[in-house]
Amino acid sequence: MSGVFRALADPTRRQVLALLKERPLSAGELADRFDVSKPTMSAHFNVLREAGLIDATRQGKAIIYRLRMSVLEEALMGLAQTVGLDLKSAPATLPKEEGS
Amino acid sequence: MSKERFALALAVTGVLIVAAVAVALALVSPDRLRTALVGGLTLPILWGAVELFTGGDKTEARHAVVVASALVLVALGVKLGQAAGWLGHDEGRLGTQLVGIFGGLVMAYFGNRIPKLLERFNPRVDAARRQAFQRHAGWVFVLAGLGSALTWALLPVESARLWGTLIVAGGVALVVARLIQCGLRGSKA
Repeated sequence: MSGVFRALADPTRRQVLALLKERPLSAGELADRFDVSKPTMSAHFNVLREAGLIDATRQGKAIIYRLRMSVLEEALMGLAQTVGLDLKSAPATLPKEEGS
Repeated sequence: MSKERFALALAVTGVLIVAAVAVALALVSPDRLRTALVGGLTLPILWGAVELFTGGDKTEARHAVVVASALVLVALGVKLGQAAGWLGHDEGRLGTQLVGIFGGLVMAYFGNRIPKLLERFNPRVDAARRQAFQRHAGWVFVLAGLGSALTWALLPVESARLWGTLIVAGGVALVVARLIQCGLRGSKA
């Protein structure tokens, strides 16, 4: 469970989960929505996958990520959004990370 | 010990305890033999079918057997308590109430897990629609289960039986309606 809290603590990861709520997306499609480096995005995906919140399957050359959140985990994410970053009012892309 | 083997050990323990209580009920009160048979045999038969006819990781199914065993155990335990004279009429009502509360919580537990079950679904339906259905079903079952549990906890048994059943039936109807809608829209035929 601590892995889930760790995964939900980061606003970028919460934004990834919010995007995956709509439909499964490829790693490239997800990375395009964020202004961060690919290794950083890859690290975020790994944290989410290890927490069991997303599932990755390879289709050809692309890796497709799908949401795999229980209702409780989704409710926890809603709580994290409420007390932390408000995703609806946040910009579509986050500012470029420096030094990563 | 792997998660799957640990779940197997838990499930076997749960089923054996239920069987023991069912046998005790049949011995204490032979007129409740049918209840004891249904309570004691249904779960092992269903579980056996799942173990035989499904492949892959069976951890989820075994966890479900553990939770279902606990539910059947509470129900059979109340019947055994009444048959043996350990529970009076009022305590029997309390037992019925406990079964209702626990039943609602079990429904919420399974609802919570639905969005995690990715593999088994109609492959004709696209992934986005499948995911939307699973999230919808999960939330509906969790809310209906919690609603039913609260109803059993707060209302008298007679009212709780009516309202608890209506809430659960309403939840199931919503999910079935969404499933039909999802299946028809997703069909390639």
